[in-house]
Amino acid sequence: MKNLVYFIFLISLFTFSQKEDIIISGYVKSAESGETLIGANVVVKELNVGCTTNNYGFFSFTLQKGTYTLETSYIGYQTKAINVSNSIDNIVFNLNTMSYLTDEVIVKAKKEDANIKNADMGKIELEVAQVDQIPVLMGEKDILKTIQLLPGIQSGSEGSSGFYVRGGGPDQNLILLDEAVVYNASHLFGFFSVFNSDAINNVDLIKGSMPANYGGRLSSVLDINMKDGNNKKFGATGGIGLISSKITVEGPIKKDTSSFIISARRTYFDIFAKPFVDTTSFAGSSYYFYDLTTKANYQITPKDKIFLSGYFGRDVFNFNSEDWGFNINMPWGNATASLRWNHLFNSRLFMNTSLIFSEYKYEFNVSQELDSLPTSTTNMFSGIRDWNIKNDFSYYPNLKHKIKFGSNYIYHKFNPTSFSGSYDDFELEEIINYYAHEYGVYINDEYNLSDRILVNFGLRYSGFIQVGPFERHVKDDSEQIGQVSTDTIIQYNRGDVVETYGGFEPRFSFRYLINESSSLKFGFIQNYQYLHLTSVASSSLPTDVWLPSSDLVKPQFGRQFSLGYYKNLDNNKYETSAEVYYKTMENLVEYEESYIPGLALGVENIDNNLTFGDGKSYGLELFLAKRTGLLNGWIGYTLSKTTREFNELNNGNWYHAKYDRPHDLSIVLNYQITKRLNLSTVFVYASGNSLTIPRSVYIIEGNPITEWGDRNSYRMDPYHRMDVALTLKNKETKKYESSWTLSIYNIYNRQNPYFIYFEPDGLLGTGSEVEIKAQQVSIFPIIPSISWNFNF
Amino acid sequence: MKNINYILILFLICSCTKEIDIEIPNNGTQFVVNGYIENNRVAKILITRSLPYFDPISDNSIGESLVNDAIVTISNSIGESELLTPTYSPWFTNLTDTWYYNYATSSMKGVEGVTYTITIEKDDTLVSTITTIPKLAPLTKDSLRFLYRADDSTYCYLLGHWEDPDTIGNCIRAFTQTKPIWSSTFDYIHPDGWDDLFISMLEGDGNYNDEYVNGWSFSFPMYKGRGFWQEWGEQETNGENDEVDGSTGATTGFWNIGDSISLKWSSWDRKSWDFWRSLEFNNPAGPFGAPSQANSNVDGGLGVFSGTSSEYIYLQADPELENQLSN
Repeated sequence: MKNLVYFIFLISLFTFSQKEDIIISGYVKSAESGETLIGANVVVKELNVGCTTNNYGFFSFTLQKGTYTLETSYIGYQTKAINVSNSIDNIVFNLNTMSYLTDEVIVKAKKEDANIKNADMGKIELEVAQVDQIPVLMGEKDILKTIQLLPGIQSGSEGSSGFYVRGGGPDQNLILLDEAVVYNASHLFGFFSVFNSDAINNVDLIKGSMPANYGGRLSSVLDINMKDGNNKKFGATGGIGLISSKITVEGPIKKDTSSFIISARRTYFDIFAKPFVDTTSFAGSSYYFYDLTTKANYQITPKDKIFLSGYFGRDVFNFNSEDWGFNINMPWGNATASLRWNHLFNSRLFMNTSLIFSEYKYEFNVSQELDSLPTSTTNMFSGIRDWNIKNDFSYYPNLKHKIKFGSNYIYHKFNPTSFSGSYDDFELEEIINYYAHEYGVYINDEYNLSDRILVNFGLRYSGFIQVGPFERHVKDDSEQIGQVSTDTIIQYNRGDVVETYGGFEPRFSFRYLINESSSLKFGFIQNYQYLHLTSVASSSLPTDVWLPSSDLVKPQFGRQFSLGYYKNLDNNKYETSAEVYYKTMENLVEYEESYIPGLALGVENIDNNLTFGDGKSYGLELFLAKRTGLLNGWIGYTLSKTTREFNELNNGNWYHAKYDRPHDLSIVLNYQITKRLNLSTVFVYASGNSLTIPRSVYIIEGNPITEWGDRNSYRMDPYHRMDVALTLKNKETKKYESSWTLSIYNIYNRQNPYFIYFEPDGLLGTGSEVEIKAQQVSIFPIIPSISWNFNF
Repeated sequence: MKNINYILILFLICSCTKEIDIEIPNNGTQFVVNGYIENNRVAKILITRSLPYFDPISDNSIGESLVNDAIVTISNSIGESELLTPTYSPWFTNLTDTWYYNYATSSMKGVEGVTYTITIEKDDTLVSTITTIPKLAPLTKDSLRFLYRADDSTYCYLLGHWEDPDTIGNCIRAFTQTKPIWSSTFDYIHPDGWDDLFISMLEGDGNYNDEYVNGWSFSFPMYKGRGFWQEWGEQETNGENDEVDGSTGATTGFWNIGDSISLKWSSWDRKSWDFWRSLEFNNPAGPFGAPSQANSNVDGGLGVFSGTSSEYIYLQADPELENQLSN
């Protein structure tokens, strides 16, 4: 910490020593709502250099004395320019939105050649406006599903909002909502994401070389910023859809100084299904989810601003069976809260300090009450809870350098699986928690070496300390925990260090500008991940368990190289890119082949049942986008291969990762037919998921038992689908606007394979034959849906 | 709007299933062992070959998959060994408690605490497997009683009582053989009114383990298991009673009042118990389950060789009786 103070001091000295420069710093905001515009472009026309605003809408330039034209632009907003010849602190560019009358453009790039000029590799900035246009399952707009349409990003199984980036696992994506980690980003077993797009300002996804301010995950960063709320006037937006409704209310707390936003969403098929369900012996069974997002901000002084934001969401599944006196209650979900303070030391030095809480919890409660028997209850629960403090500085010494540095500390509490139960006269409770400290310090510089060369290099040091209280149950010689007596438990007391890990994480990216319309980029990243998501199932479930690195589990370690060529055509009307990547991953975790879920739950360490291996992924990603015009959209194609190798799985041979897809194609088109009518369509094609299929069958006491073949050696049929959506805007009034969206999912009713199972048909011992059949299940046929959205 | 939602729910429920053809490369077959050595009893073992996955399986094809010409040797940790004798023709008359066998020892019998190794040799194939007979952890017999099924005094289930020994790692499998008040539906080989085979209990296939409850003493329900030849909800009836309809009162899991029962309570060697336990997870039919191999203890083949120590308890299924024990 001491060093950090010195560092800031030195930087301040450096800042004040450059007296003949002029410094321009400030914010870019929406003139209508006061909402911060993240990633807006600020360009010095004369020098043809520029920068983008940070996550708080802030930018800073240091220029040599002179007169310049500063121009700011942002998607969907009118460009604004001013002349400057002296230093200006805290200038605010308030941009007006474009109306359809002034411009026919629907989706316009922030800066038309930003993809060519910046050093970012594999970074995608998603506009919420784009998300709104794309047809979706049951009319539920979804950020994560839009992301899946981009090259290098793959969906899990059909309808799933889980995503896999360049061959990485679902746990390797750092999902941040206003800087708070979201551990499980899906509702309803993955069919919907937890993010309500009405409350979201901006989404960045980095799949290549992430800057050094991000850490803790190998594959990607999905950085989601909530809206601040309109600080000029009150307003509400909302929508009524087939399965859920949502409402967002925002407005000033004190005009121009502070504002709030509250957004809520709930599904209601449980309410409509209730009359049916209650006539059966399953009365009382239901499923629903809801989420609540809220944020408030306050400008204390021109140099200080605080933000408080939070998210709370739950899925709740209830199952009742009268016949068996059975009741299951299964709630799960995330909660996050972040308190942030922006402080501007001077025009060149910006600081953000955040205090963050995040939690994911899953519970499974069963009780059984049969007439003549005592009531039995079983409760299983798992979860993760973090307390996180972050300190990030942005320092803009001159036009050539943009320096970021900072530190981060997280206190983790993991509860992988705990168990409590009671029956008759006995009660039982077994909880084994894991505690850990995780920290990181970093520095990152984006350096404009020459007009053609831009270099971005960063160094992060991260560490992880597992601490007590902790109990390690040691396996005996026969690898059995069950036969272990209690004296083979290693006890750690509160504060004892169980294990320590740490390492350097260099990141580097390089841009060479070939000419005004094309560039070449290279990126490298090396990083550690101290958290692991373990799953017994083949798809993401709420029951998946987050585990820390421990005395048995080493941190995941990854390296990625990427190379890209970017070319814009026809005066930046068309944007193209080709990227190749090669990625290696070490210390990935899977359950041992012989692991039986649920056995010895709570009385042993779940990580005793893990096995460790490596992963590899390489691929080519092609992208063609047309950002402007009445017809716009993009085509993304990925050719890739992703494999895994675990000594104890698949006889130690390499095998295809579950979501290895050689081919993955997405086409998104959007056509503005009239000012009020918009048509959009999505087509996706992907190689089928790989699957383990049987090798042979044998009979054990009358039952056919499967001998499974090589892991993931079979590929299901390819997946393809086309969706369309038609949006009709009702006539706008001064106070109120609304629209109808009709969307059709899977318009040609393709029966895509969701999973395959093997079912014996017939019974032995009855004189008949038993034949095993492979059954392929498809879940979503053609699904039309309609929704109504409003805004006033 | 409501109607639209109903349609939507229907869509979700009516996911589409179709039969597909999958080509499985022929990688040859493996030896499959299903063997037992129980305290005070001779070792019995069935050796077969695994079958092509999608070929129809019949009693005949199982018969054809029998391996009757291997050299099968058993040895134990107290220095004894024996060549097992093939006992086929016709193979299906040789019963273990729970299935069939085609090799047996003639003199070597199981002893608690002794470890047994079986080797099977045929042509170039060598298969071996090892197990230990654990010490029996008995059931509390005096506390056994039957309880009526809820709201129905025609059927009943068993309430057991268990005093778990102090050492963790007790693995139990429980089975019953039934002589129903109506005639048995599987009584071919030794026609005596009793089912030919013991059937494992319904819940968890009668596999119990004390990992949660080490050292505890408690009561627990046991439901009648389902025979491999029985569909879910099928139960012996007098033929006139159509109460068995599978939706308002499936009778699987219950005994008729008046059935005679032989309860087999066995302590099991952990590794072989793991095999039986793992069968439940072998072929999950859903998107959320991952296929898992049965936890074999056979080196070079499939299946299991189990060391067990058992007790047999005879009972009358009648909640009104004060003492359930009979014979």
